[in-house]
Amino acid sequence: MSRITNYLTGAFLLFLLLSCTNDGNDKIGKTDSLNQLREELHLEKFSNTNITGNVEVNWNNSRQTEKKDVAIVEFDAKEKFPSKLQSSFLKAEMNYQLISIESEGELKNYFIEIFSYNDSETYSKTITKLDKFRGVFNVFSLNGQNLGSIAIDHGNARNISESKALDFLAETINSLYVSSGITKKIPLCDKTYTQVVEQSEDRYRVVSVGGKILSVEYMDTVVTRTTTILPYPCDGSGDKDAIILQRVAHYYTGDGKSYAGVSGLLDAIITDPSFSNNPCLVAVFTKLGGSPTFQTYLKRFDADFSVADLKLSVGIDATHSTASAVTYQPVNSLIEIKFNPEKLNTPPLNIAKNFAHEILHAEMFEKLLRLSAKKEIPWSQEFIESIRNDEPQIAEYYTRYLYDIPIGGSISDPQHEYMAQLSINTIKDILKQYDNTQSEDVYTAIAWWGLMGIGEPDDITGLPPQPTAAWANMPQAERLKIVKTYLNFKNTNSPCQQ
Amino acid sequence: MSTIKKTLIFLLLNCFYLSFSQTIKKRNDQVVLLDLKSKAVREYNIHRDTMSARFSIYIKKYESKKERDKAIKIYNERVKNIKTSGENPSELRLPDFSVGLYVFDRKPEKLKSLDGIKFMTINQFQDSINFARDPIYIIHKLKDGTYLKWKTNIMDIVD
Repeated sequence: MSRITNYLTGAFLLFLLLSCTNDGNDKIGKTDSLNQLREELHLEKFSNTNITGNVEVNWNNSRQTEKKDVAIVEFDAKEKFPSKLQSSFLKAEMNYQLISIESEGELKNYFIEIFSYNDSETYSKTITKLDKFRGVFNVFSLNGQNLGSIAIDHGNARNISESKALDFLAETINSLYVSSGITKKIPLCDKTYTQVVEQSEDRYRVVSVGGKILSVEYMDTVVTRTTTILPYPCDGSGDKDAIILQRVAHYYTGDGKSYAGVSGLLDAIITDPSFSNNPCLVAVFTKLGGSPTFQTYLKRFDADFSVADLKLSVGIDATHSTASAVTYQPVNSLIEIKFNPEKLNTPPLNIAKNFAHEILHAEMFEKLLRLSAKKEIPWSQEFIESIRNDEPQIAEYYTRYLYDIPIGGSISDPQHEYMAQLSINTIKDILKQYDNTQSEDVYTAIAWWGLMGIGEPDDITGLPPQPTAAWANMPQAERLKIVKTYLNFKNTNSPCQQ
Repeated sequence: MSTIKKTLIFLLLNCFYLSFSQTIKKRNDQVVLLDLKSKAVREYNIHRDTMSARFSIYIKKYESKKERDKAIKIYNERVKNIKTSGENPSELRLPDFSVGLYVFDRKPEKLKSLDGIKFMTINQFQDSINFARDPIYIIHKLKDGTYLKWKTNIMDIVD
């Protein structure tokens, strides 16, 4: 009997020991998973500056859910300084969350940014209670890669980016709800919202003598208000890389400057698919949304004010196949700027200059078209004379460099002459607003490129065969300095596209 | 051989393989072997200190003087008629006859031979001139049988 009791006691103790060991393993496993998540999450790598600098994960509070063979662990993430969205269709507050999903042996982690529609219930900090929620998840990998967006409509998840990386998350959400069978159109990148972050900092006056603090006196509180206008949600059927670059470009400005973003810009222009599918050009153009000067020019093509439409496209001009970009005069009230896809292996700032240069051409064409009251510009000396009262400078350049050339003189492109004399500072302003990290000399050199005249500049004089008057009037040393500075800039900065 | 040695060799081989993989992913450099006396060369200038140079290469169509003269004649005619032709003045320009390749403040590399260098002929370069991208390496022969290799920048044209 005692032997049997001993065996039973031994078996019980062994069972107890094993259960304790398993229990311990579970805890160790959970701690390991948590540590792994913490190690894998790199908020500093996110292109969204609000996430990088203003969001933190609360690791102490996780929500665990198990439903239909799916295990979900969710961590809440908060903004250190809560931002407020100003939008006609989005709720003011934003939410962030870290989600880990395990299903059929597959484990996936996501960092999501949550936008809620005005008519939606507030996001309840879990993807398991979305039956009364309407909005969009912007989904990122833990190292900041933008995976795309998922639209949520009362528990129905739709992978609007059509990104394979989001299928698992969308399917998981859909598996948690009974489909209502209702499909609703969800707006794709055709609206904007404003994100406002107010950061307050108390300032104190410290009086010290010889390193010894005598008094600390409260002075005031400084509130820094950061406002960013962003497109919503800027994902759709377009090229995925282009969309990601668009988003990167939108989030690029971390200096609190307000800008309209691509949606605002696109209101004013027509983009050919050849343009909107080019990641490099889209990224530069989008970032140019941060340049108030560039926007001012672009807004002149807004349908409410302009007599011409502006179209951006990509292609090689048959006549000037080596040109980086060309602006075509209005045809049936349409002005087209065409970018050469073979000339994009140059720094983005140089491409920003091409945008600036071409938009100045487009603006002059628009002015001439408006004054003609026609759909094409009726080029003639009489027409130029007829606009002298309205646009005296443009009329003067067309007269001086085209229609009234002195004996022995030669014609020159009036628009390039005009820009070389009057627009260098405008181009420089746009460049500085695009990227403020270069020296004054670099901005000057880039701005001049395209305004020196026609033909190759001589390597000793810096003069092309048909120089613009402003370039020819510049001292030779300065011309050569500009050429050298420009080439050095190109050689020392990464190209927009290989 | 000890395990440590084996591991080290394995890691080194890996590093070598990885660095090689990175290299082959890069776009191939355009290296052009140029006979400076070729009719494809519009003009060139090498500064005495060999710190700067310029090579001007004809676009194939305009390599022939006949074609250039024809284009100039058409241009002059258009200029003559500009007051009445209704032509957009910004489109009134001579076609680009050539492409300029520039070197500033950079010494060329001296080569004893062309062994192992994958280069294109000037003819091949002209055929792909629309796709020419920085940097373009120009190699030309010197009288002593050696070569100079220049890293050049193509001159951007903005219309």
